[in-house]
Amino acid sequence: MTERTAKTIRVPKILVMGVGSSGARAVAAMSALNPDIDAAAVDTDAAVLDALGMSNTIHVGATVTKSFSSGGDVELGRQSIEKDSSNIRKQLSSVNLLVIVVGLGGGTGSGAVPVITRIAREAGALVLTMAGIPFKFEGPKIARTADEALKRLRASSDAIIRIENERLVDRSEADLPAEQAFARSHQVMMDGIFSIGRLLTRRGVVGLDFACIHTMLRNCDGYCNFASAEGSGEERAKMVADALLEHRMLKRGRMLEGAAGVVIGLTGGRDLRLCEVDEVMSRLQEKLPDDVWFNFGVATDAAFEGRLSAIVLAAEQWKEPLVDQRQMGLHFGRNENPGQGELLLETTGKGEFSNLDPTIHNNEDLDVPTYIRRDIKLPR
Amino acid sequence: MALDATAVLEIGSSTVRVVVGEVRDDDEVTIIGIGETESRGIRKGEIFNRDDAIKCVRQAIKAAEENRRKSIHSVILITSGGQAQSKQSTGLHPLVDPIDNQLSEVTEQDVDEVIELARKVALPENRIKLHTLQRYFHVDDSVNIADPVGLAGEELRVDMLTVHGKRSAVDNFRKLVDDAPIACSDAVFSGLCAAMAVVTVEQKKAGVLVIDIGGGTTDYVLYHDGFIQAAGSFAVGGEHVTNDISVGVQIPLSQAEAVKCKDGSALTNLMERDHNISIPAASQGFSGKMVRAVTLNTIINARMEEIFTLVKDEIDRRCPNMPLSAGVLLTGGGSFLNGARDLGQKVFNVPCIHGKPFKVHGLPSAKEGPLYACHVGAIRYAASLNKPVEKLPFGKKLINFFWGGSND
Repeated sequence: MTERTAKTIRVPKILVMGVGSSGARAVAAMSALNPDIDAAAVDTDAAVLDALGMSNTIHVGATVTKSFSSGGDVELGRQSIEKDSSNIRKQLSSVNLLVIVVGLGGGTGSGAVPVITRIAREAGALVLTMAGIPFKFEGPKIARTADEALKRLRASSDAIIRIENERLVDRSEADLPAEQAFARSHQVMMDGIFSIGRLLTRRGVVGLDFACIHTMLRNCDGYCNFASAEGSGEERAKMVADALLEHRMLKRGRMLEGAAGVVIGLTGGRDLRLCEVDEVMSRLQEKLPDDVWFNFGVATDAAFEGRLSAIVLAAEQWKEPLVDQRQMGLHFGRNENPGQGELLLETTGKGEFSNLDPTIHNNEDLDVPTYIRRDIKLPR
Repeated sequence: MALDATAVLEIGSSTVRVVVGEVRDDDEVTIIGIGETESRGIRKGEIFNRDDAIKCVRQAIKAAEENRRKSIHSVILITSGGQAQSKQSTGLHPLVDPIDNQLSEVTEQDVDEVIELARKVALPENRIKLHTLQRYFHVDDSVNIADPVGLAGEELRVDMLTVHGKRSAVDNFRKLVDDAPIACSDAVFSGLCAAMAVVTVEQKKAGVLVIDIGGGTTDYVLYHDGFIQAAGSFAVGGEHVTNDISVGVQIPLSQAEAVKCKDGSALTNLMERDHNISIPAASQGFSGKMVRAVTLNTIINARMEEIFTLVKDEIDRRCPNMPLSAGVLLTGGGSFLNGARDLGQKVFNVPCIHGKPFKVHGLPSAKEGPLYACHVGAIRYAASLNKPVEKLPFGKKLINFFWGGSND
């Protein structure tokens, strides 16, 4: 694409948003390295936001948490964002693709992200969520919080990339310091944002964009697992292929064997040779099942002279069908504190019926569109 | 001898329609005048802007008068009764002759008395009785008797089904018509009328469900074993589908209505994943939009499936395990939605077809039959009331059998 056409054709606007402390840190690190990408950080903890040194930070829930963190309370996280939803809505008004980076399991991240995705949906933006899933040792409570947040996300997110912290560390590495393990999670998340950012902004020889991921997930009804590898020197193609096939995030290649869809993005310098592309692709292809939904892209970048980097997004199907929000609400109510909920004053989607007597049947307002009440994800 | 022509008026949420017709001796209905106008001031089967509603009624009546070239003095009002419901009641009448203390035969007088007793159903203040429909008789232990006259026993019981509606809704519509001004001779339940026009005796025996999907309301009537088993109405209909589309893909209501009728389908077809529908620009403030067919159909599918499921759950609750051997008949404007019949078939797991009125002349086209089902039914209903009461037991039986004592 030449400069001239880029000006006349409206390029889709992408915003990367880090939510919660871990998401905000990851995004801050990314924007420090790559200031071209629009980024924003959202958190309840003013101290965290202050330390980021980012220009675009959104502090939410000042009245709810008194500028402290939500302390692991999902309900507080949700309330914070609902109170400041107009601020978020303003940010999202002209965005075409929203990339949300979040570490699930905490309060702000798990509580706020489902709300943000919903707002983005209403504003007409596509939503890609990169969600970090907590370590096993963080306990069943946090795991459950993350799991439920993920289910909520699923209803309003167009694509989800799951990064399982558990798969980041190797059980054999007994002496891995804890700090390093968490740092590695950040590292992978950042890697992920970088690669996705590259994928979305760089025009490649063989193009690959968000629509490819979206289409794959739509076809497979699932979420993505993410892995990346890099190599340099003469043997770089072999190094990349080996690394990917042995990658922990892909369960040492087992994930590929059962994948429903795969997207591969390669980035190299101008010296990238066809036989190298061929080597990586064909070694991965050997592992993949025959009926897999497959797409790939190749991009060149001067900064990658002498190097080759690859990312793999492997779609995995959801194990259970799309859950009803109401049932989940019940479940939530039992486990979380049974405090009185806040009444939402919005009459969502009632349209022409909003000023009439509501038709209540089995505790449901039948005037609200069915797809909203049942949380049916509208294909776009 | 042809009876006087009857005018029926339906004030729907999307259309106000006046139909004039007469019933000939051979039981054929001839439609001699139709007037209709787009409805304003009505939502979900209830009035929300009286002035607009009156204007619509006047317009429709005027159109029908012009169409028929004769003025209309009184109408029968078709109403869905603001979420009508049905209720069972029983009447009990002892047959033992107090003098010689013997079993005695059931006479027609006994039958009349027991029906009269069962008719007296206690309803809450805010409900109004629309119809009382006779069902089975019981003589002692023998149950489900269609005609008990001549049987002997100790006591006679009768099951009745009362269809009742919201008093304020029905009264307000009557008042509206009175203020039009035109005399309103009777109010009838639209679901029942639709069923009367499209269901044959055979289907009633086998078990059939009639669903009348209107603009703001959906009515249902369930028949089995020759008798009505349940009836009711929900305040959801085609306009909810339109509203859902309008909210879901963010287009104006009028555009949503047009795209629903033209391209919408109640089934989501996996083949049309990549099919796009272009919505044309409106004259004011809307600049056109492309919508994926699968998005549109997902919205419609969710709503229509819910409407059918509401009816299904209701009849499952009231009459569990009732076979629908003759399937489901769809009438009303909502039934013309693409795929509505296929979806109905999926939900009820029995054949689902359009209910078309039979033995009728003068409808605009046979294809539009389901639209006029409740009007034809109401004309038949009115004729059944006006018929001189025949003394023949068979005639009486016939009336009781099909429209059982419904002249309430």
